[in-house]
Amino acid sequence: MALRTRIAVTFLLLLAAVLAAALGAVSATNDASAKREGTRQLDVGSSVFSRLLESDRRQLTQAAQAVAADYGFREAVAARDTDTLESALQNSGERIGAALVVLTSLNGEVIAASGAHVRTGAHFPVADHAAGAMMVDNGRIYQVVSVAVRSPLPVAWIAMGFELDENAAHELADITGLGVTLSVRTDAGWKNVVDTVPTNTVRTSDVITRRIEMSHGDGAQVVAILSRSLGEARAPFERLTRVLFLIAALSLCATALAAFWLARNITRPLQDLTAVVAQMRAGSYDVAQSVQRRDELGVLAEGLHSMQSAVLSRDQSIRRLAYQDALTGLMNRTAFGAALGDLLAEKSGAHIGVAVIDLHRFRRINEHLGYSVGDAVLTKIAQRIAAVPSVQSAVARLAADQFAAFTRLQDRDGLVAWGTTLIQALAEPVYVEAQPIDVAATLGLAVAEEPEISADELMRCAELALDRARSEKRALAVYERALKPAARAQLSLLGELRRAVDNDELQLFFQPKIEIATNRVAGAEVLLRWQHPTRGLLGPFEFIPFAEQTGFIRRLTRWTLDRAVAQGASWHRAGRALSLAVNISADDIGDPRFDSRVAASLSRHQLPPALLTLELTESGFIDDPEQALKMLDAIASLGVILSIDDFGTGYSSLSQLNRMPVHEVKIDRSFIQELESKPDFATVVRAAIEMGHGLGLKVVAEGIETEFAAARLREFGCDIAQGYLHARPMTLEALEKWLEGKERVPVIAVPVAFSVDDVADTVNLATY
Amino acid sequence: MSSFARKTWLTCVGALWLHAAHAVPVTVTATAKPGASAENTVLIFDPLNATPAAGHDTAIIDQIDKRFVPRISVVRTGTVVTFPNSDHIRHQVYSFSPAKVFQLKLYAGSPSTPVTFDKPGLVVLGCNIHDRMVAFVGVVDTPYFAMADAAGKAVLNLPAGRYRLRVWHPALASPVASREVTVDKAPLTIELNVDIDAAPSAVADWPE
Repeated sequence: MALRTRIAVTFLLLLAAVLAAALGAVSATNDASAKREGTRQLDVGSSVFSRLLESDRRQLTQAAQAVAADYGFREAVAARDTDTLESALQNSGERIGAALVVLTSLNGEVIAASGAHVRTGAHFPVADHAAGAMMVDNGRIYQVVSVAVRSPLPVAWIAMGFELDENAAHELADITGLGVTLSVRTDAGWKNVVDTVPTNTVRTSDVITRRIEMSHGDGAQVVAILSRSLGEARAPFERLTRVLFLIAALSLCATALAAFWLARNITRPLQDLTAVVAQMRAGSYDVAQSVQRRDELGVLAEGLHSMQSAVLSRDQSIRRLAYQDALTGLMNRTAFGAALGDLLAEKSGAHIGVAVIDLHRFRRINEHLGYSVGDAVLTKIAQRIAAVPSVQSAVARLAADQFAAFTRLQDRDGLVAWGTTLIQALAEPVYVEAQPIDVAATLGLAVAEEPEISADELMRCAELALDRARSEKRALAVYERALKPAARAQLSLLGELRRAVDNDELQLFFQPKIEIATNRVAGAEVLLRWQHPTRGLLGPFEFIPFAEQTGFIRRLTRWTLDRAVAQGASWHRAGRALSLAVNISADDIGDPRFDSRVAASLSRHQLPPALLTLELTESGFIDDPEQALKMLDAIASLGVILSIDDFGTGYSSLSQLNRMPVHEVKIDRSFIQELESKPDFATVVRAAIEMGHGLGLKVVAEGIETEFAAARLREFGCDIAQGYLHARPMTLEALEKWLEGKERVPVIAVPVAFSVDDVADTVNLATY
Repeated sequence: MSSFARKTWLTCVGALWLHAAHAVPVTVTATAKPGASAENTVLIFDPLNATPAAGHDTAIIDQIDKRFVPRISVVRTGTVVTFPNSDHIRHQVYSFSPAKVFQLKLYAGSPSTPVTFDKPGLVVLGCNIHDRMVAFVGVVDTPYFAMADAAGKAVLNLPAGRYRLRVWHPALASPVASREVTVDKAPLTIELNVDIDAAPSAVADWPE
């Protein structure tokens, strides 16, 4: 039931109950009063009736006594002067209006009579009426009183009577206010002789009666039935009740109207508010305040309205937090993904290009110039990226120093042009507080070519391209199809890698290192290959970056290291010692137990530490240089040879290099490969070699593919060469075959049980 | 008994005594039913073999304290009765009895005209002012009569002879039948049973 109806009905029911109770009470009281009043009137009337009869009796008695006491009348009685007596009787009867006057002897024989049908000589039952009694004669009722005639003893009776006829009864009825019925007992039962009540007008149930015995002794049995109609007694009360009913009906109607009006007054604003709430639930918070009142409902509406504003503003800020980057105001990854998804879903056939932009050196900016400057730089970079003119584009900040953008391209070729524009936009230094700050960026680009590609996939493609650009030290890279299976399979890759380690799907490849001066074999770099069950042999580029991202690299390094140490130990026991170089990553350096792992492995396989070289890139020092140095010191103290990989591409300063406990540097292949085409690079390479030597380090060059390069390196005094020119990476079997007949750089094998310092010294000695 | 009553009584007895020098004592005892008294039962002896001469007696019925005294009297025919009024209020004595109808005008004090009761029968006296005043005077043609005393006893001296005995009392419930009584020289005792009603509804009929 609706609230309005419920309120109204409740009011009405309540009032109806009260009215019903009141009316019931009044009606019951009225009924009781009517009955009481009727009974009281009957009591009074009965009393009056009896008094009237008594009064009549006295009147009759007095009249009869007056006659009986008259001396002349007694003389006439003594003389039996009948004529005189009759005239005297008639005279006295007329005096009081008696219908009957009879003189009898003492034994009831009529001497003289007047009125009625009493004849002289008949018997008249005078003795019955001495105290006054009823007599029925010829269907008529008489009230008769007998008085003795004394002279001085009783000698005769004189009886006088009134007839109780209709007139007398009506007179009695008028005086008593009651209905009077006189009834006589006959052989056939009671018979009403006189009746003042019109029998057909009154219901018997509505009449109360009183029965009065009028006869005494042996006289005729006559009763008077006095009656009072309750209807008459009730009449004034019934009028009152009718008025009350009218008032009740009117008040019910008025209350009904009032209740409905009131309920409607309450519920209509409630309905309005409910509608507002429904709209709010549907997400619409800008509904105008619909209820303008001063009462509680107004307050409620006001409260709802302000709640609506509060929810709206909170909603907006939640949306901002959820979809917007707080610092730059750009979209976050979620919003960007959604926007990109929307654009892709349009399937307009246009080319959608996505760029993932990674800032170089940003960590350094934060460290050296403070986070406020870093934030300022980020903000300006965001503005610049956003300012690049594109078609239907969006820009987002994905992570601390990573941004993303997408745009609608004319064709696939536009992608590189767009990427170049972005690079150029970021090439200029950023000015913070008038200080120029150089921020370089690397771009990964991808274009949606497949119609069904999702936003996530497209972004992952761009990120893969970014990885490639970073690893290839290029400013930008475009995602190529070949990368895609890896990208698609990336989620399952981790599980597969774990399985690969367990199932020995990983395989060690070895690329020999050649001592340039003597052309002897100096050792070999250990490289990982993955014999994937479905995808074939995978190179390190296809899973090492992923392993580094996911932290699985530690497990891989441990595995590789252990296998390499085992292999090295095997050769060493066979008297064919060969120094093996294993790549470790920045993540491994960050592992505080890494040195103990290395020591445990050497100890387990009984490999002299000098036969193990660990190669790490300069990036291993970026995150926490101090911790990295501590770890390197610990490893070096084991007697293990340390080598800086990719030398020349990193950011390590010379002073830092000087502090590092390394034994060799490995010049990055990019310099070696361009040696022939770019004459300037020769200078760089030469400088690097000389610098390494200056620091007392052995210098290794990798990526040597031409005789030209080999010659130049020999000319520059590079110590060790590695590359396709000399030998490609090969399996163990191939290596062992290859090594046959090759002269090796001699290595003094020292047992690992020696103290660490001793080992280190020994190795150093052995190296030079 | 007041002095007037005593005097009347002595007068009657004295008269009987004088006229019956050779009389025989006759004792009549009337017995009433238990609870009632036979006092004042009137006993009348009518001689059957002689006709007594009319008397010229006098009698007095006084009115004392709104009562006739004596209430019951028996007199010979021809007796002159005077009605003195001893009360300080007036009385009006009357009789509608057939034996003697008379009316004495309202009077007080000394008696007015005496009334001669000249016919036998019962005369009921009343006062027209005071309905409750009633007196009975039995008028008889014989000098031989008496009223029983409180014990129901009466003694008469009757000359020998045959008599008719009549018995009357105002409250007799049933009449006592007249009987013939023969008086010899020997004293006679007569036992009578009378049915006296303590609360009579009417006066008993006078035995003729």
